[in-house]
Amino acid sequence: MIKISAPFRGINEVLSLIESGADELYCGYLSPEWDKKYSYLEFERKGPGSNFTDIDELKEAIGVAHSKNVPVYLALNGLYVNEQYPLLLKIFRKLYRLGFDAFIVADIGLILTLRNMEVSVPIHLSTGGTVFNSEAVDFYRKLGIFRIVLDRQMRLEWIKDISENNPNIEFEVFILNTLCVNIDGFCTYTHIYKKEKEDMILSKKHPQGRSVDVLSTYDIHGEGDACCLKYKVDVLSGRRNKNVPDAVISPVFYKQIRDGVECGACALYDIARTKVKSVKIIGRQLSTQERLASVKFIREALSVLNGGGEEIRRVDFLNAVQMMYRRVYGYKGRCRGNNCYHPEVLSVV
Amino acid sequence: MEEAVVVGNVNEIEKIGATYTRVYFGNEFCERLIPDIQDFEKVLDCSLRKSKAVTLVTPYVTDSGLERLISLFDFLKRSGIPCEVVVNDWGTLNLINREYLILKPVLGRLLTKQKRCPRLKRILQRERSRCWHLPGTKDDNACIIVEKKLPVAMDSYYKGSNVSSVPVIQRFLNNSRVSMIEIDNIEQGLSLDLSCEDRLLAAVHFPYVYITTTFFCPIASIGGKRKVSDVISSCDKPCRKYVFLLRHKSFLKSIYLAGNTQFYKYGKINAVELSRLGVARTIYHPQIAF
Repeated sequence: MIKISAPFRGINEVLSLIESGADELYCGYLSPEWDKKYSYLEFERKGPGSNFTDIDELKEAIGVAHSKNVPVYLALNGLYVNEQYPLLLKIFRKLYRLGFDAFIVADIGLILTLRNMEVSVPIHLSTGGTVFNSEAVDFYRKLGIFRIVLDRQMRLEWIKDISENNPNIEFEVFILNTLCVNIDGFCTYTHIYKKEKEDMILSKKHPQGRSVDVLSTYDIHGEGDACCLKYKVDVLSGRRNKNVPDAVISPVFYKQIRDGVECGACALYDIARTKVKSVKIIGRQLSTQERLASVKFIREALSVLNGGGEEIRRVDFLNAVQMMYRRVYGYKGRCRGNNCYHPEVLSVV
Repeated sequence: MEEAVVVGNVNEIEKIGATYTRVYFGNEFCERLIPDIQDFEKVLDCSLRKSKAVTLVTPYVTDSGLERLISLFDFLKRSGIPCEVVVNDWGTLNLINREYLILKPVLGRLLTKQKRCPRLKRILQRERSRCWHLPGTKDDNACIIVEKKLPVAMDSYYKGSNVSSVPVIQRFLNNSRVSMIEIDNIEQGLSLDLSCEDRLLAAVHFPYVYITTTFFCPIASIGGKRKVSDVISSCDKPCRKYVFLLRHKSFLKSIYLAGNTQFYKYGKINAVELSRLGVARTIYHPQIAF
């Protein structure tokens, strides 16, 4: 049975996420000490408010999840330079004592360091580890990796082959939210430099009694992450083909074809027939309500897949899931495959 | 300092200047552009004739791309050619170190994890926080925007990388027979610390700095072959013909979209300074070729 891995960032969410259908929980922890010295920027590329910041609350939350036999994983999936290691390891040693069931790591330096420290908790390779083939699986297996989170752009046939050819390691794939147009582990754009709405404050001292909105940012020009911007696109001179109009040779930017929440639920039919262990719902930055809705949606889809004792036909499963999607996300019309993790499965509907 | 140049085909080798002692051939970003054995053989022969060393460049790969690499590696092994191979996939390194010990792996720039965002120079150069007062928002409230200064401690993060600074990685690479790492000549400046006991060397690509790459190739979609975010199974390689410029005020400079990869251009290079940092090779890209 495929497990659902869901993000959480507060103790109050633990039970509701589990009751909604989460089998595994994962979270991040931004230490105040790290925040003060290095800021939250580049700390797993998550904005403020996406991580735990109180270690006591985190410890309590792990206890609540464990009381329901639900494992908790800690994402430590940033990249770190040598200068950051003393503080990184100081924080890690505190976290290690909290009883996490796995650490999700992307940086090969941290993987090697934890291996040298003989850390007994399993290490999951974050999608930032960029695994697309069986040799890469073997590379990380030899480093002691217990589970690999495959890249969002992996096609179903690749997932099937890689998971079946490597039975000695667990695999996890993305299923909902935030389908990046670039390969996560190879994208070097900066993120989350846009204006921080959380900093908005109300001043009562302003003349005429009007309020003042205060927004802060690290980059006044940053209107959003690079993958979501609307660019002016030109054919580079010298390579233009005069016989072909520019409109015909425009590149296609998928983030600009928005059709709703990025989703791969239809592919659960095929994923369930691979050796994949767990499906990941992304969205530590999303609201509690959005994450609860995500978990319920995927749980309901898995129930349709597994319910009734009889094997459901693929076309019936896809129709049922797409109906759920329309209900949960208020989407009108048929799924067109835009923002779809695995559009190749839609051809049967 | 060794000077290498990237070539797209055998004919280009005839034209390269005497200062270049090494030729780079292959592709870092797309497995569909892994060269055929015949083309690679021609490059090897021509380079040998012109007394140039050859480096085979390889991309990140799926299992099917790996099969194509195996064909090339088998050819090199059979021929007894101890070729240098740039790896941009940990799986390729794993394969070489198990089956092809005749080959000399170099860690490609996709695995050296620099931050290459074109907005970084501007952000890092800010000396202090700044503040704007914007009157008249839609609710008639006043709005103040504070542009903060990055913490000074982030300087080494944005100019360096894990591979170019962390000793445990460098020791691991040495044990994996990697003696050179590739990086980009990023605009915000470089910070390298390669001083661990078995010193690694660095090679610097210029003038095109890679920023990001994808399997969802925006160029392969030209002509409307694909309407959704999918990996197409084959393409006519329109990337050989078209390069696009993307402009947005967020970056204050143009982004080059070539094939499935984005770059920015930064041509200023200081060989003396690079040498001081431990850079032993420059890799010149005459064009943003795919």
